Amino acid sequence: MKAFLKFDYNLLTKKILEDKLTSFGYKFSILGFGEIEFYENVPEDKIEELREEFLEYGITIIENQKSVLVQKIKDAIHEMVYGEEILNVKVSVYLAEKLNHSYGYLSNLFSDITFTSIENYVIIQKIEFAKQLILNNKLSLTEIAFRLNYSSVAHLSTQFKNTTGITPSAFQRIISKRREKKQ
Amino acid sequence: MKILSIHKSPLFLKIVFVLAIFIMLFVSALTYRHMDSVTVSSEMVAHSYKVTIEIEQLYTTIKDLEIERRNYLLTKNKKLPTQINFSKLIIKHNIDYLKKITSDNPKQKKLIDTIEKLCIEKFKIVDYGLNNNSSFTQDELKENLLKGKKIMEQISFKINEMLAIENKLLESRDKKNDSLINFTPKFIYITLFVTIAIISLAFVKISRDLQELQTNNEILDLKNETNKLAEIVGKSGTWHLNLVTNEFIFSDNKFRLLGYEPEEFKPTLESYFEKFVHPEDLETLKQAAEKMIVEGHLPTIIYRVEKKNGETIFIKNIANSFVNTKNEKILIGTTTDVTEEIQTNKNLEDRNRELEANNKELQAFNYVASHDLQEPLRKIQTFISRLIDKEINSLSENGKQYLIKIKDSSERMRLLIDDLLQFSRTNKAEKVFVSTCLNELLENSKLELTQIIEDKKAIITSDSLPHLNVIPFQIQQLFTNLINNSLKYSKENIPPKIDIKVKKVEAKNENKIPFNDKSKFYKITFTDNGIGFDPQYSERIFMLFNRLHNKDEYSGTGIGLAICKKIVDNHKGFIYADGKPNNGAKFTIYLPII
Amino acid sequence: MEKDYIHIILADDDEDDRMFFTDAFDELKMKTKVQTFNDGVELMNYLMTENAVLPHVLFLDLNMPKKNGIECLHEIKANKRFDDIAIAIYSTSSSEEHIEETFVNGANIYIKKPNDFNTLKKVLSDVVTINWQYHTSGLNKDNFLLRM
Repeated sequence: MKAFLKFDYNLLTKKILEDKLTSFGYKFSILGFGEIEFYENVPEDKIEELREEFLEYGITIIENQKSVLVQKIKDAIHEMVYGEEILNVKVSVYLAEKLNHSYGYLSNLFSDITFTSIENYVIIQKIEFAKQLILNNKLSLTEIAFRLNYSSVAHLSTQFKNTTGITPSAFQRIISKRREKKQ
Repeated sequence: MKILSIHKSPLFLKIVFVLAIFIMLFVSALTYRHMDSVTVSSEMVAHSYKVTIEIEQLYTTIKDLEIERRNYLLTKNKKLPTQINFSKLIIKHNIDYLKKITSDNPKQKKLIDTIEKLCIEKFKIVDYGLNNNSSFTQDELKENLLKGKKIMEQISFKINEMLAIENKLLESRDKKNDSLINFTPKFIYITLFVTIAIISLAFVKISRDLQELQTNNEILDLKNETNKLAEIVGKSGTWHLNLVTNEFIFSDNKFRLLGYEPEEFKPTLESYFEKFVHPEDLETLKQAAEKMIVEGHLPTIIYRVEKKNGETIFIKNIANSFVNTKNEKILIGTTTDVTEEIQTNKNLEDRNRELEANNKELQAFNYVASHDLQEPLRKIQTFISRLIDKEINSLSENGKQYLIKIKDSSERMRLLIDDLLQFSRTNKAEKVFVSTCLNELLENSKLELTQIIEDKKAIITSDSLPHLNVIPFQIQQLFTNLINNSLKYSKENIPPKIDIKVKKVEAKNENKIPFNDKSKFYKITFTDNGIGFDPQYSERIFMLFNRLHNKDEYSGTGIGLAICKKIVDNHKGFIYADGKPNNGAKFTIYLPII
Repeated sequence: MEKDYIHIILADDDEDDRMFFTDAFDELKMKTKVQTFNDGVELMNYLMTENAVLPHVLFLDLNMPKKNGIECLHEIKANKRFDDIAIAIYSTSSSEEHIEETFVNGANIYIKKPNDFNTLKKVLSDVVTINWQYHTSGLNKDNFLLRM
């Protein structure tokens, strides 16, 4: 028997954080954008403990300032791509405004740390979302293209193929065959 | 039709025969009646004569009596009374007789009665005279004589009347008799004529029928002879099996098929099974034979038979039934020696299998060769690239050139092997047909060629392609190869335009499709505005390794279109190319709708 | 990429290919630790050892003696311990159907061995980079399919 799930990652992460931090003992507040504020100073070893625990859930406590900013960029991009409103803003404008830095600076920083450009990262996220939507089976390719702000299905297909090396239809075929095999 | 009329004849003939008999009997009856009439008429005449004679006889006798009376009266001769009495007796007899023979004629009857009465009177007178003659006076004598004479006159008168009547009667009877007799020959002629007519008609009919029969017989004989020859040439024989009498008849050639001379033995169904039929096939044949006897026909059956000389041959038998004129069911069958055909077939099958195995081997070889050649070539190319990267500057000018040439050649080799591999894959691949959206395949092809399309700023327009049962990867390859072809052979500095159209057609309406029925195809055309080609090559370009340009003008291996043709062949379709030099090319594909 | 090293393993029976592979990574400015194995058996033996350092990306040649790439793929996919490894099939050309088959059987990446060294460097770099993205950005590994 199968049950189909949909994940609300925001809620998921928030809940885990809340549970973990509550049992951690220190007063805290979740600020969003992956920021937590502790109302008291937490000793190093305790932070290490928390870090270990968080790692189990795939949550990393970022040390580096630069890494923090990079993570913020990633989060912002994530929001932009997965947000309900269709992105009609230019990425550069959006990020610069949201994070209060020039796009040039953000761009360089991002490339230094991640070895990828922001543009590339956006594309990766869009294609990732496209994959989810394709597998969800509720929207047609045209609708998906529209949702992700591509000018046409062909444009989406081209970018999909450029990024993954296979066509959206081949992708769908392979994943469904994989699922059949598991049965 | 001839058969129909011959069949009609017996019945027709029977009717005519019966009719003829009737006519003849009728005519005979008439003739008999006539003869009867003639006889009766003659008898009538004879009768009249007799009566006449009798009457005259009577008169004579009466006259005699008178004379004798008179004599006696005059002479008183003692001898005369006896005579007179005798005469009286005779007269009585005569009258009785006359009465008898005139009983049919009322007039005569009356007259003879009258005469009888008169005679009785006369007798009275005579008797008186006789008795009293001795005592007669002269006057008494005279009186008696006169009385006698008077009566005599009366009698004579009556006699004459009788005679007259009888004469008249005789005349008319005679006349009638004459006419009847005269008619007799006519009657006989008529009878004769009718008989002759009937016999003639019969003769004509019979001789005509006979001729027909003869002609038919001749034709039959001819056909029979031809048949015998045909049997010999066709190595076949025929047989009849009468299901009622169990008579089994072989045609001459059937005997020969079995290795015997015609009529060398008397065939029976059982002996045929036992002696000739191959034991392994016996059971099947017996079952089929039983069925044949019940159902009345034998569908084609092939079995083995051992000839007189021990040789085994394959026999093909077909049989059918009909009912003969005696209402017996007859089975007629043909037997053909098909040993040669079967052997030929077997040889063909063997050869086919050989060819198939060979083909598979070649295909496998092709695939393995192409595949295994890739490895070393790749190494060569990679090492070359490293050399060019790292060491090119430590080479002399010549060395650099040589290295570049090696690189180019190895690249060409790679193209060739890639294409060969692709070609062998279209053979080797599992031919699994799936209902596919051709539009999707076209989109995939365009995606594959995105780079070149962009580089050349090509514009590709297409109709909406339908769904069809195809091998998806192969059709995608087909589209890719065709579009790539058009892109490659585009005019310099002119953006290539490729238009793809689709239409549903029927085989009989397309003269390019070698069928002439209603089977349906999708006709897909790829038209471009490229450099085109000379239409005399329109068939050659699909041949393997065939190129219309050398490799310096346009790169290419000459395999791409051969792959297209192979793919279309795999789908049991057709592909044609049209073009004019410098005026673009058009590729037409027909894919059957299954 | 920071201070973490990216662990890479290649299983390929061809000496030259192993050399190209390691040379390429040497020339790439990425913090990578590369291990090579000569055949499938050696590879699986290594992976199955208790404290083995599992690779981030595993490159599998298909045609290896003793145990070929597909067999290794099946064994690896069957073992939960190796769920985090991105598996790249590294092979000479195959047919379209065959390539799709490897994806269906669990491969994440299919790489056709390039015939030019520079191309090889680019391909390997892209693969590692993209894989790193998946690793660091919480992307769904199950949907990670890449063909080069």
